[in-house]
Amino acid sequence: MREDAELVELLRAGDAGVVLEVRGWIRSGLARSHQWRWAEVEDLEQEVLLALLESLDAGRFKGESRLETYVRAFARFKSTDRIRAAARRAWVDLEDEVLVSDAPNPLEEFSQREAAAIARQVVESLPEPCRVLWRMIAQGLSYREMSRLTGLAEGAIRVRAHRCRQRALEARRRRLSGDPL
Amino acid sequence: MSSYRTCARNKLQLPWLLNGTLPPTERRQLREHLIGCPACRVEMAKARQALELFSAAAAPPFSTVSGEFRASPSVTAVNRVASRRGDFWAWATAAALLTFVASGALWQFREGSSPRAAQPRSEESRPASSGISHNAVPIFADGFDDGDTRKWTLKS
Repeated sequence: MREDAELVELLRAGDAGVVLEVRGWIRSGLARSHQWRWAEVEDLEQEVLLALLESLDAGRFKGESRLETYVRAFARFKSTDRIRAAARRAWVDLEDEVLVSDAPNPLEEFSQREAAAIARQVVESLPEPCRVLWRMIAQGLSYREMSRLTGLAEGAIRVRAHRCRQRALEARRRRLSGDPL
Repeated sequence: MSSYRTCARNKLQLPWLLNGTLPPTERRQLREHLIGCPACRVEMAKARQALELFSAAAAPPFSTVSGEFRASPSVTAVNRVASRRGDFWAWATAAALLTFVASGALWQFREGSSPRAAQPRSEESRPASSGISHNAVPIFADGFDDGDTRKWTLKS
């Protein structure tokens, strides 16, 4: 039996056998939480596996439990999130929309404001076309909608967005390290 | 892991995978590629950082709601009850609750318009069987005061 650390490395590297085994764990976790339709299971399994890999890449699995246990629990939580998200799409909870139950922690509020101020400085240092493109992406527009709105080809939209993303992250790096934008 | 899509093409799709607008077939194909490609997952993390940057920059500079603010409990209760889709009994309960609140308010109105109500009424002189009492009793038995002046209590 392989150690979990070895399994994690193989999974992150995309080893077909390990990926298949982990998919089985995920399906088992999903089946325990809810009776999903077949088409939903495939989509959700993929979403869970990708989120799991992001979590493993970020080092969030500390080995405090078996990898299999972690994966099954991860799948159950994601399944619950999906159910809640679907319910929220049907009904809007007035409490969430209108009310703030508690005033924010002053330190948290300060951190949020500072992060937002830095983000605005970085974004304003970028060329206008970059700002327009990524604002549309942040607002949830598809690349087809953006192509229609801007008159650019879909391929051109994707390439420009990628280049703007590189510029934005470089500007952010310079800002955080104190270099001029 | 082999894939018919190259990494160079795939990473261009990442912003739309993250904002949830990629068409289902492309989404499935891109996710399969990402599952097997650590390098593209690094690109996805960078795309996510950029999206968070632009979302943060677009957020309003100050909170639009400050301090505490609570809806009336009847609205809160109705909303909680009605937050389940297609639940007939939830709607029936919500309707019954609203009817109860309205009848209590109507009863108080009718009491207020009678000749006996010409005299000022103290808290003690209010009928014990009123449905709703405003500011009469703290909502928590242990005297906890959350600062909300609209305190309600349902009396049997």
